Amino acid sequence: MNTDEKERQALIQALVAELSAAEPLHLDYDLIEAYVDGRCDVIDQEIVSSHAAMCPMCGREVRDLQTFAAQYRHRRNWLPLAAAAIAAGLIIAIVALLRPSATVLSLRDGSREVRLTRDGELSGIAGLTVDDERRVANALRGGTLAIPAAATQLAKTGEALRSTFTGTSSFEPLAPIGCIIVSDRPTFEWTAVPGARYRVEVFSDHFRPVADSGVLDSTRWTAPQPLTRGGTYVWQVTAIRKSGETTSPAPPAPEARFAVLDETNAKSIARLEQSQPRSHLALGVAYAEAGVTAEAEREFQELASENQGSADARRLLQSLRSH
Amino acid sequence: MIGAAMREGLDPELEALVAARDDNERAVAIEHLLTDIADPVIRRSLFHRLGPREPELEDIRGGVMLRLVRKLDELQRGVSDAIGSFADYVAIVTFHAADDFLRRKQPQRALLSNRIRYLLTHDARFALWQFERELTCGLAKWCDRPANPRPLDPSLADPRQIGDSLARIFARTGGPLPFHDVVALFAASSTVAEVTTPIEDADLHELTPSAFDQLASKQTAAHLWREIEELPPRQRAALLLNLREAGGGSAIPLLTVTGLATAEQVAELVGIPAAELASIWNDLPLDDNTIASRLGATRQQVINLRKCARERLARRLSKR
Repeated sequence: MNTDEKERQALIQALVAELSAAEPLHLDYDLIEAYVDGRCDVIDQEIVSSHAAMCPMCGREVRDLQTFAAQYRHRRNWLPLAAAAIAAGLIIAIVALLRPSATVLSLRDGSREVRLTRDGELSGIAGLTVDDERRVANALRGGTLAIPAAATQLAKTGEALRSTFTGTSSFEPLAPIGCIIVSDRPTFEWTAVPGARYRVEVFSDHFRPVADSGVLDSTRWTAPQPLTRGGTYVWQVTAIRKSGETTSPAPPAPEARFAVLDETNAKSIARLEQSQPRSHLALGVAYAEAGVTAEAEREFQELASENQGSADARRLLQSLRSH
Repeated sequence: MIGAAMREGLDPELEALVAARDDNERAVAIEHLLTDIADPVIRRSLFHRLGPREPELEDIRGGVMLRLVRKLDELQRGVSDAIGSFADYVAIVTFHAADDFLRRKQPQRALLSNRIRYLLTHDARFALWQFERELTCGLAKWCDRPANPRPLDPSLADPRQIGDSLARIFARTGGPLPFHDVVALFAASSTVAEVTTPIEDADLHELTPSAFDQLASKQTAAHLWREIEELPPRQRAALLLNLREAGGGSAIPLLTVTGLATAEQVAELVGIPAAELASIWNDLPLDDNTIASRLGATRQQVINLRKCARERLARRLSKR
């Protein structure tokens, strides 16, 4: 190769290196918006129009926002915030419906009769601690339950997730979702996918992996090691088929979240389960106020079926479900 | 070697890198920056944006790491601006990487995101702001308050009536929301049918280095030069004035040595009088700030003009 040819090759190499070293340019939103609104200087106009002509993705976004902005400018719609007023009215109405009413009542709870006197004294359940007795009396007197905000928040995440699964044949996690659980070794359940094997992964609230099932044949798996009490966790299940893998839930669907009951409440409930195994009322209130709403629902349903026709038993169930 | 001026405003975490005296110290410093600072930020950012099971997650993470390594290398060689907060820089690079990935993978969602953002910044009822790195939105009167993420019913969001839907959503939440949660809410509504675009299809015009190597073998210097001549003037200037040969010197002299262009022709192409080009001949290649001042542009605009030039050339050469 003569000197002239070497220099030609060096030039080609310089150009090729220059071209291949480039990280792709993509227009960020601010630049697209400025272009659409006519706020770009002449250089940015050249950059946007040049790149939009080359890049299908950015070109599509520029054209779409141009169309949208033009429509928006032509029909500004200044509706009053009626929705906010309606929402506020609804909240007021619900609060009014849940306002406590009963002050004296009597309920059958297993083999005993529980009574609440006019001055708030509870009788009929022997062996309750002072705190447990106060909690039950307050729940009966007010007809409302003090569900922890964390449980309510979790429940909403569960509702949001479930609302994304509309088809009967969809692959979805079933439990635990949007709840606080008592056991620190949760059992995970999900819907079946024909011909699939599965893998469950559990992450901490900081998205660190904390448990991994490996490949499973069944649609149910119990974590072999206890999770840290008081922690909130996110989990996903993956269906593995020859045709590929499907993970549920996956973005943009909300995460499948749950929490493990904290140490203090877990001990308190364990003690109550031992001392009052047949008191649906005491256990229901304890579960509810620890945020373990699924177990509380089960206990209050039992209580309601033992007290058919009782508005007081029904009110506890309604209070639980309203959170 | 990094200058004293550049050390001003430099993240203390980067001090060990810029002070590295040999390859071993440099490797240790980079390892610390990537493992202890960058990796947790990248993982957390990608988890939030894409979820933990996105199949391309590791590829995106690898791409971000590669960009960081390049940036750290530039920083240590003193050819990059100082970074005030490395963690913030990592978060921004990761955000853009995830954003580009989602834009390519979910084009309908990207369009929707742009429309929502446009409404939030143009409708007087709403506002969009940054709160501790998070893009946050809500009613205008909530501006600068932190977001309080909460689950919402997707039926509140109607992509055909974004303004009304936003009013409904914010009335329900009573407080600001992360912008990306709002986009996800609209995307989750049944009226948006996302057709996932295979990444390969969307990126056809982005040629890989190996593709360029193949291309180069088919091209002659004359072909390449003719294509450069066809570029818009600013793009041509941004490309040529900074063009370097393998040793780091300017590639412009190669144009004259190989007879592809005279110095006068080069001067005309880069928009500089011949006498002036001659006077700066030994200063070539010019850095981006110098090119920016010559073009009346910002440094970032010079970088973008050069990227435009590259992609235009790539497109034209790939069609040959």
